[in-house]
Amino acid sequence: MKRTLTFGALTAIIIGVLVAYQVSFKDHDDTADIEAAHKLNCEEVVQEFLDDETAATAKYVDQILEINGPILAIERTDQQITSMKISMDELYVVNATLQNPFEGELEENSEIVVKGVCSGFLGDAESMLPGGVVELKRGSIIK
Amino acid sequence: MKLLLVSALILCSSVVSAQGKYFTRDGHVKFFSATSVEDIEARNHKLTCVLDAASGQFEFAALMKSFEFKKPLMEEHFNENFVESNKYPKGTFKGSVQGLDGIDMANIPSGTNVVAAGKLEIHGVVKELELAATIESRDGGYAIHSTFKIVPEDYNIEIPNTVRDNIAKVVDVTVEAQLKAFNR
Repeated sequence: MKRTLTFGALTAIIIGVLVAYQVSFKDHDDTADIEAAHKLNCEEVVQEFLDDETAATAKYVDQILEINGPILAIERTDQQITSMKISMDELYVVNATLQNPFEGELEENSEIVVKGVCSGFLGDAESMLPGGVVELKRGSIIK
Repeated sequence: MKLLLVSALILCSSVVSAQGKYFTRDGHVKFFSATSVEDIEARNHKLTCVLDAASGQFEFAALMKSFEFKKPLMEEHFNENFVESNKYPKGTFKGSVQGLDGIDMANIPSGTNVVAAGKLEIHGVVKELELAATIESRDGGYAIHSTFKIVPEDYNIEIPNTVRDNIAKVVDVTVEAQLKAFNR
């Protein structure tokens, strides 16, 4: 009986340590493998935040969004694409950083579909600029 | 005469363009916490930053949830326990760049030192701060770089005892932004 209890306690400790290790050192989930909660055009999502930031925040923040629209600007690090702005207007944009740098070629003004975790909206209340940005992190290019 | 007129127009346009607003939506902000237990770094490549070249008014803002950490658990602790991103989603600095008097704004040499004095708001706490920075003219706009330190405790950011040794008491912050002309 004592041996069974000791064995059980040891097993529980080992499982606990393994779970804690797994949780502590786990990598981010791959956004590409997760179904988007909402699929929208870049203008639609920016407009929703401009119309009612509180409601749009509750609806979209921490959710995976799939956004389509024209590429306004591309940012490269070490010649790989690491983030992009999606919009036709530089003041009203969706700004997405990619989970993994993209090695292929993309052209500004071409249409793109990107999936990413919505981290919120930065609007004109915070700055001297009109407009606003919906921000996506850990993005993945769909097409 | 024609040449003189063209030269005058070019001069005027450069003066006018150096007087307006300059901005970016994708500035970089990084913070780094170093302890004997571990180093923690987070990056946000979506800093909004605006400079009014005429008045020196200067602002930047970042979403807390746009900081990306290597490990999801770190990101979760940062957002939920430390900065409470749902309650205080943004960090902002509003102030003015001092030391621009006498500087030719159309042609600021590399490594020009300035001070941005203003209010930094994090976690709902506002602190007066003077940020040492460098500014230079680049690609028709301005490149700005600043490194400064913040003390999480000053912003009522409570670090639980369980991870107290993992988080530095003073955190290094780096801000980099390439501002371009705002033409509207």
